Amino acid sequence: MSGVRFIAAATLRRSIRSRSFLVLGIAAPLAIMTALAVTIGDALAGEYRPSLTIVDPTGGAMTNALVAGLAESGLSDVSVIDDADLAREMVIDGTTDAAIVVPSESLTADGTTTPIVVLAHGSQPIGAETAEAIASQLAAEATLSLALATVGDPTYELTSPVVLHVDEDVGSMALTDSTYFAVGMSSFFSIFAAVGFLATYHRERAQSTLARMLVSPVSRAAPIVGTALGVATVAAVSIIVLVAASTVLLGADWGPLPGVALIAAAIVFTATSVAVAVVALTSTQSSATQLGMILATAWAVFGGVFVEIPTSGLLTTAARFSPFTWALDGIGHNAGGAGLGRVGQHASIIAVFGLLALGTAFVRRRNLMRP
Amino acid sequence: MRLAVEHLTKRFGERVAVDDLNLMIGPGETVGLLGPNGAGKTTAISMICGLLEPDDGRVTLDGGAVTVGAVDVRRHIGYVPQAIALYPDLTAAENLTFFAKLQGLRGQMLKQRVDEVLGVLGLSERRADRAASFSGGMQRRLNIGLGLLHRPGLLVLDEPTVGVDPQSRNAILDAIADLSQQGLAVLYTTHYMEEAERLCDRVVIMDEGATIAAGTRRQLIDLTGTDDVIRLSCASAPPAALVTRLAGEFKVTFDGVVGEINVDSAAERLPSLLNDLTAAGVEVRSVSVVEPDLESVFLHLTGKALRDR
Repeated sequence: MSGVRFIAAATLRRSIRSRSFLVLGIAAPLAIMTALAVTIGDALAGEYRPSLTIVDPTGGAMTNALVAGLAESGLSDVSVIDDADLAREMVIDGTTDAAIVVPSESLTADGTTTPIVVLAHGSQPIGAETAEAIASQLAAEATLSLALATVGDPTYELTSPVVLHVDEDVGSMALTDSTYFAVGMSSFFSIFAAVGFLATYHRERAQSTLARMLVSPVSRAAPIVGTALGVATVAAVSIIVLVAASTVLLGADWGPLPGVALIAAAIVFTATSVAVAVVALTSTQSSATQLGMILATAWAVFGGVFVEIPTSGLLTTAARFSPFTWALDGIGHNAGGAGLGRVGQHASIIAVFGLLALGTAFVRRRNLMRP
Repeated sequence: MRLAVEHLTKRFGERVAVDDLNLMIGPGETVGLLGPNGAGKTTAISMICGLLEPDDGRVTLDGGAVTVGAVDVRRHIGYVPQAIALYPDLTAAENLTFFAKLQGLRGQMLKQRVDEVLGVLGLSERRADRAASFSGGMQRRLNIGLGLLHRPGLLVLDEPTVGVDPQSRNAILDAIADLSQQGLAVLYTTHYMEEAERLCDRVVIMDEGATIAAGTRRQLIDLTGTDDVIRLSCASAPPAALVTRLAGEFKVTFDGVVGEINVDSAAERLPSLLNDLTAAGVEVRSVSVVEPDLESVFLHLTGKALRDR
């Protein structure tokens, strides 16, 4: 085990000396996020106009007045539909930021109030707050009408007629554009960097330092395990820099730290495992780099890193075979306020890709351990 | 330590890379593996160092089997690969320290050995310089030093002087001879016959995986049946009677004052020849002896030249 530790430490030391640690771990992640911020940051962080959907089956006068008022103010885009279930789906798939379900009657025949329900997702806090404020205003007006109508009736107890319903069980999310880019690029870069770094393992063979290590009294697996640990450390540093830089420069919202740590750890594990598999499947540094680029790019395309994948069809199915899809989804849940359990499920699925890669490397282990 | 290699064989598909190699090396002995490129020397060394599993045969070091999985036995092997196997981004001291740690050295012992080896290599002044800044000869020396750090019982060198200038080569060969005198068992592969002749107590000649001859230099030369040649330059032509008498015993060619005499052993015959010439009143101005070398042994055994293949 000490052999693994020494090899990992030497790998890091050499990466610092050759500046690849600085480039892959710090400079490139910062450069990527800075470039994104400079080139499309304004577009991502431009004036925010939440889109709201009002559900009002009766099309009452209050709703009409509200829609007209909001349209005039320009504060948000508003549409009106009559199906609460459809509104919920729209919130789930991000078509609308939040929905306000106006009951057909505020006061029921038995004298109780029916709440105004706000449907929102935690990943869209501005939309949720806007909808809640509007709903409160609506409720205040309704309450006032109700109070005037019940004056002199001592049995009536006024209750708050607004229920803010932030749905924690939504299966998808609607990341902000900046967060989406940040998560996608971070996942992509991690695999790209890990493969690029670990591909130098082939150079160890060419210059016989691998043979020298294997003649030493260390286990046969120590050189590849130690080198992979060194690479994982660089990948971890790079993803920390990517998260921090995207938060500061792009305003990305990754959500609570424990969830970010889970997803990031899964990405680092998978990136490193994929790099080991790529090295096991190739025989030269250049062929390893090329295979790694092909794999990372294919996963990025099908995982929606460059172009958002539609919510149905063949591409959606293909997207499930990319760890990036699960990283984006996992961070979406994390930012949306889902619990660690839910985020952990996504992290586990990302890690499964890593385990499959390790399985491939194990099958080809002779190629990793030959001098 | 004592290395025993018995019936070592390795095949790659149809090709037999090493075929039934046998050799023994005791403490203080240097044995050379001589052969052209592609003869199977590096494959043999890989099996001897436990890097490659043989298809047949076995390697033992002081009785302990050297295999791919035998971690502890490898502790006694110092391996110097043909390539310069060090990290150019690390300093000389860092390279030594890293490989010393892999060999299990720690603490004061580690520091002491790194200092000692740097001193032996003549690199103490450059210990903090990156290996990338070293000349080819210095890198070669460091390459050898990395194999000596842990005081191995067996030192295996795979063509350690390839691409080295003559001065550095001499220094390296002297250092290896010193190590051998200190009791180290040395296995030295080369395709330079001069190095094998200079360093090795015994030589195993390989070609296309097969062992074609093995023994001391004299034993190998005797295989050729070729004589030593004594070349003489005299102040005056030797008397005809003396030439006739010598011609009855040896192959003699004289052209005036210059001549050649083929003898089985120049070392044994030269004193009496010089006595005969002096007794006949012939002043000998110069004498040179041309002995058959391992190059001619290889040529004799294979019909091919050792180099340029």
